[in-house]
Amino acid sequence: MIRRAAPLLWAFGLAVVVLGPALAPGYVLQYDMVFVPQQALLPASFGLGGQLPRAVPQDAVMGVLTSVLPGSVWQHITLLAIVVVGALGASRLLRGQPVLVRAAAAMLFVWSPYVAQRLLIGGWSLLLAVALLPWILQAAIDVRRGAAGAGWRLLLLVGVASLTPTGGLLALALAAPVAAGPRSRSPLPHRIALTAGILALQLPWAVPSLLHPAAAASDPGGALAFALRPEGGWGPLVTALGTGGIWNAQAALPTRELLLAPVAAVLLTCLAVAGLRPLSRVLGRAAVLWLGTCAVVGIAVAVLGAWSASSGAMESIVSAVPGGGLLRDGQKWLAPWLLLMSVSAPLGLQRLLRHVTDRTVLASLGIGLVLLPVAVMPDLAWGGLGRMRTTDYPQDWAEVRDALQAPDALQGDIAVLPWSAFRAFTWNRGRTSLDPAPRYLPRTTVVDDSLLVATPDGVVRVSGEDPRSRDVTAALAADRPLAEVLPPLGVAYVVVELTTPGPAVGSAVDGLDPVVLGSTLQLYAVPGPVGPWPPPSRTSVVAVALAFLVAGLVLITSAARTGASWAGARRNRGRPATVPAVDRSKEDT
Amino acid sequence: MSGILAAIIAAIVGGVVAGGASFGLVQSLTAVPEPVTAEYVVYGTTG
Repeated sequence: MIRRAAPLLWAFGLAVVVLGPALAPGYVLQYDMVFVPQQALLPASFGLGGQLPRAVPQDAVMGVLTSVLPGSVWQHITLLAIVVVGALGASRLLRGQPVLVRAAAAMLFVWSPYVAQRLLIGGWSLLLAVALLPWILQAAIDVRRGAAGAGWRLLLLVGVASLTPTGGLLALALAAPVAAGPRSRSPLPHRIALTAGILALQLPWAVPSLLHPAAAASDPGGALAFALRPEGGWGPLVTALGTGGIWNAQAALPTRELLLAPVAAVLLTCLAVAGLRPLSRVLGRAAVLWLGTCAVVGIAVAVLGAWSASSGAMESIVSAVPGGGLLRDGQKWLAPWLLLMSVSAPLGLQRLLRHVTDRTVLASLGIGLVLLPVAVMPDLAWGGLGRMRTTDYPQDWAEVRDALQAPDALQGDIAVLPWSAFRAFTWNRGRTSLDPAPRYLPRTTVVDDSLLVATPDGVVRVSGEDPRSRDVTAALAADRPLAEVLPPLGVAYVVVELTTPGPAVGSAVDGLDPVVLGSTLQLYAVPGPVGPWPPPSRTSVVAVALAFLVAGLVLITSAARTGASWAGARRNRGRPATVPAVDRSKEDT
Repeated sequence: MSGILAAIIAAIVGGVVAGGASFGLVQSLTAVPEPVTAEYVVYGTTG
């Protein structure tokens, strides 16, 4: 019993060490990570807002989940799951291997620059998908080997990973060719159905993306602003091999600049290459070949955006190719390499030490590899040495939400000031976070959807896509009163967030009627009649509803079948096996 | 392999891990973040 529970206990212990103060009661509001007590289900939650659906279907899912339990509970569950699921998944891929090999895989996967940087920039839904990648790969391999029920398990895992477009694409790219590719033992109709199911799970973000007027036009400036950032002067390639290089220097830990970082990156790369052959024996040649292909492509995408010689081409792709905007934050595509390196490097070390018999040497080198990630990046501990901390929303926020839900409240949407996308509230210790208003407030909000990025050449503005946002930006620049500008845009209220830097509100609220005047948040009503803003077209609504319906059916069915299969396996545990065990050593698939 | 050589290898590995972690912690705890001089709250800095 203790032996079975040990990996789980160890993974939870690792999660506590990594997350530390982020697990305290309250909300971690950090860059893109914004959870709220109860998230409203709005058209934007389903990708029918003014902006490109980058947080779809995660916002819709959170809207449903937070109607059951508060957002802080889901945030804690998610953060824990990222570490625990990731560590157990990487370890489980190498089942049957010595405990130090499995522990090293788990550590390399979780205590990695990739996970650290994406945690610090708040990319929780992407990290959840990355944590599921080892499980997805294992399920795909099981499908390939013809294991019963593996297809439903794979669909369930891909469904959860597809909370965000990048996560969905990573899961799709990794899983489908392994499970349904040539020489898979799964029957052809099953493979076709499985591929269709995986594609169906991408519909909730793919359909609204295709229907959005800005689908083919991301700001090319984003390609350069969000390109991989070489760390410590070692160049893009070494940085990418180390799985670091997030574009935002604020989300990179200081130890990434030290000499040990590139040394470890090169060492682990060499070990990973040495481990490819033994890894092929564990996972099958086809799976490792495909994982390696995905890893190389991911490294290429990340590095090409950072090299000046090729960054122009990346800008062209982002601005001209539909969906090309997905490539603009190239470092996130290092996830397949992170997985490959994590499971292959420990096997590589084991291979290199195959002639060493001294237990002291084997143990010390094995433990050394397990602890190498901590030695290279000790400042990930305790939530990045306290960078991730919780806070609580001031009471003003609940009062404004209640006022907007009052029976006599006006009909119409909300504009949010100061006119910028990010906040640094004093009640959040000045930490940068995305404006919580669009998720906290129960109405559609009009916010500044452009992104300001500080570069060595000055502040760059990466423009957004919402036409109403553009209109408000122009009006504020021309110093026109909002009382005159907002009614034709269907906006009935203005929310002013205090205790954060940003463009001065000044006279923008002149002529508006105060409704709630808190010390941290204020609500103003726009006087006079407010014109209706055209809702999404009926065609769009029907198409998106069908997309969610189809994906939901696939997900629910796969969850039910996986649950039944799991329960059946538990019932049969301990009974004599009726099916001969698969001899994996003879497989070459 | 002699016991002395094994002990030396173990000591080197332990030294690299402990030294690296200690040095990294000190560097991180004493690092002074560059001030963000932008007028607004920026999404991040690439420099």
